[in-house]
Amino acid sequence: MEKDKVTSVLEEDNMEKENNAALQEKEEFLADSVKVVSPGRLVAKRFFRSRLSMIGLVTIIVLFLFAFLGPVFYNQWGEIEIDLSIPEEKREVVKTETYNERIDASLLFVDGKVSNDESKLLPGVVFDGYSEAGNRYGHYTDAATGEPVYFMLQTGSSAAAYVSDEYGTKIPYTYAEYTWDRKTFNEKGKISANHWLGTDEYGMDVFVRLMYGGRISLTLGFVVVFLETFLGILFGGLAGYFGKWVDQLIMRIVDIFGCVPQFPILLILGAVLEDADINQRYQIYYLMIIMTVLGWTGVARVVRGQILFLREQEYMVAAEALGLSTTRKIVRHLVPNIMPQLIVQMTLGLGGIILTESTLSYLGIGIPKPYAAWGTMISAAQKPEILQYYPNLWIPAGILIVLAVLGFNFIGDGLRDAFDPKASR
Amino acid sequence: MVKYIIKRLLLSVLILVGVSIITYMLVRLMPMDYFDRKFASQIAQGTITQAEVDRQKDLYGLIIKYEDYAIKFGWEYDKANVKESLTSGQRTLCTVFNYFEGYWKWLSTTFKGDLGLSFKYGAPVSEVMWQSMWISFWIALVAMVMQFFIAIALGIAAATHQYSVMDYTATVLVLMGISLPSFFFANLLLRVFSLQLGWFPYVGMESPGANYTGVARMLDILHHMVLPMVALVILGIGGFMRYTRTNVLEVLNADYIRTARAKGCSEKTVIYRHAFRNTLIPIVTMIAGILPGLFGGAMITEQVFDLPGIGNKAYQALVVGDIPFIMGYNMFIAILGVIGTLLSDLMYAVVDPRVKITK
Repeated sequence: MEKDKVTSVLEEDNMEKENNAALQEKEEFLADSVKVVSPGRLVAKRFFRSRLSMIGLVTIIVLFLFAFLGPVFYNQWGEIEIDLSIPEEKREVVKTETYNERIDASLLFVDGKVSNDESKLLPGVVFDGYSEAGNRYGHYTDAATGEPVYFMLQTGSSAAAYVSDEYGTKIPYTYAEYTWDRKTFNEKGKISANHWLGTDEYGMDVFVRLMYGGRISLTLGFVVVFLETFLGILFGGLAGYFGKWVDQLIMRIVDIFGCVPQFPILLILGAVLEDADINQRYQIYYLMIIMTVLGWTGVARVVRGQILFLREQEYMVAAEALGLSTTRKIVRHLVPNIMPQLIVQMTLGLGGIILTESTLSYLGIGIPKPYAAWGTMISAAQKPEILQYYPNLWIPAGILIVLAVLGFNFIGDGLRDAFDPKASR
Repeated sequence: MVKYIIKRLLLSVLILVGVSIITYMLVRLMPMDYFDRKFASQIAQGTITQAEVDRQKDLYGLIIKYEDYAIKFGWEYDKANVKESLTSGQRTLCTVFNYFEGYWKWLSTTFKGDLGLSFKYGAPVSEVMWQSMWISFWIALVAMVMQFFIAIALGIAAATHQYSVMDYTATVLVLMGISLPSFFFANLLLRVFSLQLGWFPYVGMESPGANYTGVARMLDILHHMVLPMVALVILGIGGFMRYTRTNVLEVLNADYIRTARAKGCSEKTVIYRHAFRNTLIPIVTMIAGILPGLFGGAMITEQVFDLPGIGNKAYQALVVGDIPFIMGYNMFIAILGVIGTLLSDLMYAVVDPRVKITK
């Protein structure tokens, strides 16, 4: 307790106090008998003493190392590399039939464009798998005859073409002229020395994809939270400081944005972005910006409330009396005082954003399919077969999400306690 | 008080109009391929003409009539090829006007109490929403009551034994609940308790084709509801419990608790008579805020468990771009949100006599 008082005296030291000789003497006297700790050090000390926040911190650091350094050391497989090796005896015959028809792409795809994207298929059209050469094949039922019609997409000659090619070019026909026979890539492989967590339904290494998936999930949260906080401080600060019509205007906008149902809107925007000519790889960054736009209102409310309260404090009157500029008053005197609360909110917000991002990816509007994200990996469990027989494909990703969110929550809780001036420990 | 409520209600109308404008504009930006998708194979086979599909689209104002606008504004255009003959600026203007007209049409019919006809469900939106809303409501209500009791018990236990093993265990467990992605947890429950152990049925609301009646049907539904309920309770309990814990801790530091202890009340009386009642103040306001939200449904949980609640219906509608349903649902959620904040603010004044509503 004694230390707290000393530090608070030191914290508020300013020109007048320094000129005051008597006080200086007193300070020196106190400094001799009591070890002076800065508020920052005090918070850090309290934070590092709490066991839960340390667990959280270690978890997050380990996850970051796993995601960013992991692929450097374990580079046996790439993020989207398909394991094409499968022992000869395990190859199974899928289909041996030859078709020689030309099929109009508009019968298969919503927009008439040849695509590897399953969501673009018309209802009733199904992709069955890959041919030996890596081309996709599938079937649909002919409405007139009721017979199944088989087709194959010629998007490339190797399996890798599937992952690099987003949309096929606008060719009117796709050939259904092929003899497909065998499954040659190692799909849904068992856990082995070669694949520590097996392979997924496209023959990609699950363990490696966990690392790459973490990169997006972990970094995205930081960007969104920083942008949200920036916008929140800006608008909340303006509203709280200037009051009157500025306050009214900003707070009404905050009310409107706060009332927009977030999840449906994100789903709508996911569909809008999918339709726009945007590289699917970057879609998530657009969604991120939208999440920021929808999410800053919470921060703005907190900042405004705090500033309304702080504005009436004595030290602000002092700042006014000193004739400081408005910018200086806001940036140097008000913002530092709301920082502790904001930092706590930001840390807790990180977990929430990871959850939102993974949910979007799970629903298929986050990170596009061949690329890895934890949520996308769990979406494989939407197929009952994988849900039941291949837990190695989706449970690890779920555990990592829980660990990441839990880690950020622990850190946030620890920070809250550490910043609390009333806390005795 | 009355003045305050009226002011807040007027403000709510403003908010709702803002939300509806944002939502409508975004919905219109969605790829409008619902009709194309639905009739694609028929068009290809020649059983339906493109003109027929266009007529359907026109019914919902989904087709931009460039020619009408061109005549209206006196632009020069090529009769055979209207769209291409206009400049890109003129075309953008047409789109903007079309959106405004569409919004106006939606707004005026909505005020007449007509939310339109859902593309996907082929029935009036209000009807579909009304039916599925109650399913969601009963699920959410039961889940909330369970959450409420468990969270309060846990919260009080954690607060009265602060920094004990019990406190830590409860905090960690509850934080895990907050940290679980709903889709993952729901799938995990299905995998373990339905597919592996076989204790509960796999997805759905009732056993398909069983045709139970009366009590047997009730039991069947209850059997199906166990897993979704567990998911909702565990996912939602965290916030409640932490809230209770913080409040109890705050109340325990109050002067009147010291007084109660000083006059020799037993610990039980102190906690349940004096502390607990006072912690209810913020909790009651919180519940008043949540109450309207119960009607909105849990989109992800309902979707994973394939329950016919409003959340799942809305999800299905969102995926195909069913404009009337999306608009109806989003406005419904926004209205619930507005009512929720208003209720919780009012409850605050009702429960705590120190708070006075002035403005």
